[in-house]
Order: sequence, then structure tokens, then C-alpha cells
Amino acid sequence: MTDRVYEIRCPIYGFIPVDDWERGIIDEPAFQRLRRIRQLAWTDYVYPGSMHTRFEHSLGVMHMASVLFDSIRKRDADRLRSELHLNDDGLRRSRRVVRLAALLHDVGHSPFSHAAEDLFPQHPSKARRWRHEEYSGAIIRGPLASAIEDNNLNVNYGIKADEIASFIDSSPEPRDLVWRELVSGQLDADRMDYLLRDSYHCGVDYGRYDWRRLANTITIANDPESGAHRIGIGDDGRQAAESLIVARYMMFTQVYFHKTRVILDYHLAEALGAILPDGVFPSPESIEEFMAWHDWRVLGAPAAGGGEENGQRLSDRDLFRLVWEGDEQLQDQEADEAAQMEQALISSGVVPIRREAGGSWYKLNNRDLLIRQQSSGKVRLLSQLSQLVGNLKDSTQVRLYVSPAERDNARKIIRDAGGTPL
Amino acid sequence: MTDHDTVKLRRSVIAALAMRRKELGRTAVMKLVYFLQAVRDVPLGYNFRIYTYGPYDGQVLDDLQATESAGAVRSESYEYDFGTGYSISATTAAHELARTADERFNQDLDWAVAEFGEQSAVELELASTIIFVDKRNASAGIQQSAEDLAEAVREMKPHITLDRISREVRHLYSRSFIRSVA
Repeated sequence: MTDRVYEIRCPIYGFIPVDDWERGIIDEPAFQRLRRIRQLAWTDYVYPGSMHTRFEHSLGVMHMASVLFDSIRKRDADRLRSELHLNDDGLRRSRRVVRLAALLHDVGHSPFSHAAEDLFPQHPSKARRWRHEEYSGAIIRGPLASAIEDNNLNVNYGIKADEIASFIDSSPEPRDLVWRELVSGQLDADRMDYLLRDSYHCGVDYGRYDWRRLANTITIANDPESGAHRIGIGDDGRQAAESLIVARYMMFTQVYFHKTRVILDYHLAEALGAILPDGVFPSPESIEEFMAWHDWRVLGAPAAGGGEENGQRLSDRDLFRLVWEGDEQLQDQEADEAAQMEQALISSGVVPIRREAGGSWYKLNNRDLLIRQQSSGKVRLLSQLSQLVGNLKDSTQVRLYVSPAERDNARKIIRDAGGTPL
Repeated sequence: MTDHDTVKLRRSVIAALAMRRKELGRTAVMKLVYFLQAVRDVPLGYNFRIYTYGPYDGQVLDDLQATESAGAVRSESYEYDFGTGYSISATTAAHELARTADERFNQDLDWAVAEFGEQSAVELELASTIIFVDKRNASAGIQQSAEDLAEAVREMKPHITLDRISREVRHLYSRSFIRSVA
């Protein structure tokens, strides 16, 4: 008997096939909640089409991860068997684990995605806040566990919810370790999907790259220093890999670090801080309480006068204004100037909101990819082969914002301090 | 410490490590930083996750790049056994950036280089993976034999022989870096 397959429409891939097991998980309230969490928070104030949600992105990541997995399985069948001891049964199970981990990797997102993560409470035993992966793990081990473990199809796999949760928030099973990079790595399905999807919904072409070529040329590569098995690209896909990196860079400058989007995230976090009890989300230890928070609930608050000043600003689209920014590549001199302008404003009684590109979740980090020469098996780094990638630097831009009422005064202060106000 | 202080310390630590050991590979930077945080509790705030190549946090490479942009280290292409990577060296400007780390964590930095500074990338990946698994088990209250720990690591690193892994487990145990082995 073959598994029944359903197809879900997707604007990026056409159709995304799912089976009964996956459909059962998708139908769970814990997953349906993702329909109520927008992928890019309030970015529709800049790009009106960007109303898409974590729901469709999660389906897309599952699909993309499967495409990548299947490509590696086809291309590297011999090496998977001889070097990693993965036979057909093992690979069939690993594919399941990767699909479920990809599908569920974002179930722990707070309202408005990354914009509000600074409102996660402090971890009780670690010197940091809880992370959204830990919320995902708690939801998978709790509300989603039965849908994962008790489906009839799982008789063939014996997959435990904890195994999927651990793939995301701690340590995958050893046999699946090599696949972790497909869900969380330099060349992962998460990033590959959101670039295409965000680009599509924003109505920009910056995030498009040759994903089909990339998928066709993905391969197991050896780390050049240690020989450990990693995910890389065959040398026949080098240009496709370059296009991915350029897409990341362009999407960062044009969408993710857009000047208005950045200050929207600030207002949102501040408004949420005023709305949430004690100013923070419930911890993963109170996962049902946390899951009750989603965009719909938060959106109702500013409309009803909640969220204090920042809630009102969001409702009225009366946002703080950009009054100074440095270049994308901040030189030492400009770093001094940023500090100088900030200090000049503060000294005059105007406290600016400072935002840095380096603090963004979407920053262009870890951009180096492994390129495997298929004839010799030798590996080089994309940054060594591509002048374009080798010379691409992270944006270090700094921006200063002030309230609309203070804008004219701030501009004068900046000008008097020798700066160029916006 | 504020976030700004942590970022400053991270870059200072990388500069200080590059001053202590010539021609560091990226693996060495990643793993030495891991040892400092995991074994010596240096408050670097990284979120290391386990991969086939051991504990890894891409933020370390971001900080390495920032340290390079600040002129404290430089990277040059270098031929390793399995391909071409980078070799990282301190510049004359490293001393200034390294000062914060040197003043606060001098002993820890010397310890990291003395214990692991001469190890190859393969050895560093192995030692860091063992310590990662050991810490995970210890924090879960799991006590195990040295053989079980070696077997668990062998499943993660099938290209390394069990005998070699066992020897490294015994070595790390003798140095008191292992907590979950009864």
C-alpha cells in the first residue's frame, strides 16, 4: 500500500506534497498557530504584499529540505553508504526526520517572528534569554508529541517527538547529524526558502537565485581542515552558490534592514513590552500560555489603545524618523562619527534610538560555502574561488532615529556637530 | 556584562589566541573558543550546537571577520589535507585589541593553547565533540563508562576509529575535563 499524498498550493514551488502523517501534524492547533504569525512582522508597512506567514514558510522549508536531501541521496549514494554507513532503510528514516524537523523548526516563534525575541525571559540556568528553538522544542515534545508518535505510519519508523525536538534545539541522533546543516547551516532549506518567499511577497526580485541549480549540485563535501562530512556544493554549482550569497546581501540591504522596517521592529517590541504581563513572554516551561500569544492577539491591543505610546505610533503609522546613518561599511572614522552624533543628541536632551546592521537576525553571516571539485574530491571555500563573495563585507551600518516632534531639533544638533542630517 | 562588552571580549579573545599560536585554522579558532567557554567558563555567550565537525557557532566566524576588519588578524589561503582553507595570523595591531582578554583571562588563554594549541583540526574536532557530549550527559545527570562515551562519539564521527576516540576520552579524563564518566 502506498501512502496517500495530498498537495498544497505554494506560490514558490507550485505544489507541496504531504502525506497523512504530516497532514495530521499540520492540522494540529500548535502548527495552525503559525497562520497567525507573519513572517516579516510589520514589513507590509513598507512592502504591502508581505503579509505571508510562518505557516507557508514552514511548509516550504520542509519541501526544500526534501529536494536537497533527495539530490544528495542521488548524487552521493555510494559515499553515503561507504563513508557514513547509511543504507536505503537508514536514508528513508533520515528523510522522515529531516522533513519533520524542517516542518516544525519554527513552531516556537513568538508573535511577529524575530521582532519580539528580545522579550523572551531569562533562562533560569544560563546567562541569556530563552531562544525560539527552545520554544519549538517544548511545543514538539508537548502539544505535538502525540501527532508525531501515534500516527499509524510511524510503525515503520519509530520516531519519537524528542528526537525531532532535539534535532532543532540540542543534538540530533548521531545517524542524522550530517543532515542538520540542511535545516540549520550555511546552506540550509530555511534560508533558501525565506529568500525566495520573502522576495516574492515583497514584490522585489533581490532574493531570487538559481535554487534549482543549487539543489541539483548540492553534495557531501569534506571539511578542508579536518575531513569531516559537511554539506557543500559541487564545482558545477559554483555560480548558483554565488547567486545565493548575492541574494542574501541584496535582501538584507533592501528588505531586512530597510530603514523603516527597522524602526517598526523597535516600536513593536516596545509596544509588546507594555502589553505582556511583566513585559516578557511566558517561558517554554509554560508552553500553553506562550502559544496563546500570536499576531491576532497582539494586533487587537493597539487598536484598543494598548501598547502605550508605541502601540499608538504603530496604529497611526507615526514612526520615529531617521536623522543620521553611516555607510554600509562603517569605517573607524564613521564609527567615531556615529558615537559623536549620538552623544551630541543626548547632550542636547534628545535620546536617539540606535540601530546597527550587525545586530540584525538576518545579517550576512557565515557566508562561506564549501565547493567540492567533483573530479578530485578536494574542497575549496567559495570566498577563495569567487572575487565577488571574497570581497563582500558584512554591513556595519549604524542608524539614529528620533521622534517626529524632535526631528527638526535633532537635524540642527547633528548639523552643528559637523554631521550630515537626513 | 552588556552585549557590547561581550562582543568586545569575543574579538579580544580571538586576537589574543592568534597572538599565542601562529597559523591558526578556522577550526582551531572555533574549538579553542569553545574550550574556553565550555571548560573554563569564560563568559563569551556563544550558542554552540553540535555538527559532524564538532561544536560550532557561526557567530565565532563573524567575530573572526570583525577582528580581521579591525586589522588585528589576517587570513591567508592555506593547503590542508582535504582542500584549501584559511590560516589566521596576528598582526602587529593585535596586541591592542587583545588587551581586554589578556588582562582578564590570561591564565585561561594560556591554558587553552597549552592543552590544545598543537592539536590538528581532526584532533580538535574530536576533543571538542567528546567534551560536548560529556557536558550534555553530565547536565542530564547521566553517568557512563569511558567506553560508552567513546561509543557515543564514534556514532557521530564514523570516520574516526573507536580506538582513537577511546584514547582521547582517557586523555581528557586524565586531565579532569570529563565529568560524566564514573
